[in-house]
Amino acid sequence: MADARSDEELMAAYLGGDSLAFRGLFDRLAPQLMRLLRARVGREADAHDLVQQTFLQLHRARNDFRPGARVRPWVVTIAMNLARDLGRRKGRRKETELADEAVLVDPRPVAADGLERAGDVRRVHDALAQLPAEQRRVIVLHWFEGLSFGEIAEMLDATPVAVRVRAHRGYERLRKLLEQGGNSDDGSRVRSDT
Amino acid sequence: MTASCEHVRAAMLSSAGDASLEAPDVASHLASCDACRELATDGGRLGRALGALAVDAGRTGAGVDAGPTTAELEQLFAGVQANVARERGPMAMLRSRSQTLRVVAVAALIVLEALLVVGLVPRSDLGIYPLLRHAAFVALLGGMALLAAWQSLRPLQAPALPSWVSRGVVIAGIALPFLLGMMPPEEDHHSLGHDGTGSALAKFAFYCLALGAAMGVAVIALLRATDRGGHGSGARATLAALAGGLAGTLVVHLHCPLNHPFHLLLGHAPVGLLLAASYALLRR
Repeated sequence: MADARSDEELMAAYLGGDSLAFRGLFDRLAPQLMRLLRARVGREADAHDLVQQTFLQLHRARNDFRPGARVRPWVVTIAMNLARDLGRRKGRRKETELADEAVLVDPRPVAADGLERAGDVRRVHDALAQLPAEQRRVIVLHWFEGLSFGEIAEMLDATPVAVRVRAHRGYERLRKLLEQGGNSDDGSRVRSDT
Repeated sequence: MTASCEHVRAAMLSSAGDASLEAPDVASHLASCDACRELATDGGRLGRALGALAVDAGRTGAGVDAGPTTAELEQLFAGVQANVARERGPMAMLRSRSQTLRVVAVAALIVLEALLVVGLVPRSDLGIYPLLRHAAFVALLGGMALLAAWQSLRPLQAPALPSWVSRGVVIAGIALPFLLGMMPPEEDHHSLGHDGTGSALAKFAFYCLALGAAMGVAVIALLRATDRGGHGSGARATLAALAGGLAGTLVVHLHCPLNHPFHLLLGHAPVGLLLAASYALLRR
């Protein structure tokens, strides 16, 4: 059964000596880390290794955790730093901006949903690639990874307000880029009643 | 309950379409969140387009959960447990301490080395060497060594610093001993000597370089032992080697009275450069 405690409560329990809480944190965070790291490093074996390294680092850094801090941005930041180091060790000269934000999604057509949907996907992918890196990074973490602005702010060492502004500008620009690329696609241009 | 960005995302991806965006809690979140409002414009068209991308990539909770299987998670956790079980002993305990405490341990080792040299083989001109100049050299070399050590032990849960920061510290750390070596002696108190130059240049320079490197290696060993894994990155490893080199230069400064620039530039200043370069070569 899933542990009802929050990530932070689990971390506090782990610090208090509850080893089951560490398992709880792993069950809670590892799936998201796997998705992030698979997208980031590509190779399954590397993603596995990095997930394990991330939790080892979490264990080593446990005494740095302070009440009031949030666990998820902490863990995701460790994973991203380890992935960056791995990329450098493997001699990738410079990761592409898109890969750096872990949004390396494959825009190839998906037969099941037809060509129209595949076109949509490619357009969104291309539009995302045109965003400035800092806006894209925030959008990936906010939309694709479901992190809150507060969590993203902690990860990027920025204020939540700055992150929120970046996200707003990024979404606005993305919407305009998609509009310029043609309306159409699903024929569902409805009203604009925000 | 007020909806969060995540609720809005779910609403945009739900089959209920526009109606789900008009739910009171979602509407109230949209009124206060510019980013989500942008996503919801045109009936959530952008949100749905992004959702299609996420689903297509088989990621996120936007529709398809392509996370690891239970068996995969079990196998991963077994690996984590094995790693954690190996994390025992005094060094593991030191590794689990804060960055500040680990840098303090490094500082303590540098002080110990300095005290050993001053106690056993101090420079013969210690009594007449200009005190301010001496204090400035010790403070600059020691301070730069600790700055490099601090950067090399930066916790992985902290956002990565821009690469120019570590590059800047490396360049400054390598350049500093050379700049100090080129400073003219204070003529009133400490005139320029020619000992250790000419035919003796290589011999004396090598001796100082070897002493500095030996002292530096001990500092690097401690930095490596207290590192939590960040030294996988070339920049952090180089910073650790540089910290050792600067500590070595500091110790040599406390030991060697030769002050001719040729000797200083060949025997004292290159310790950091030598260790950083050797370390980089060893890592290849």
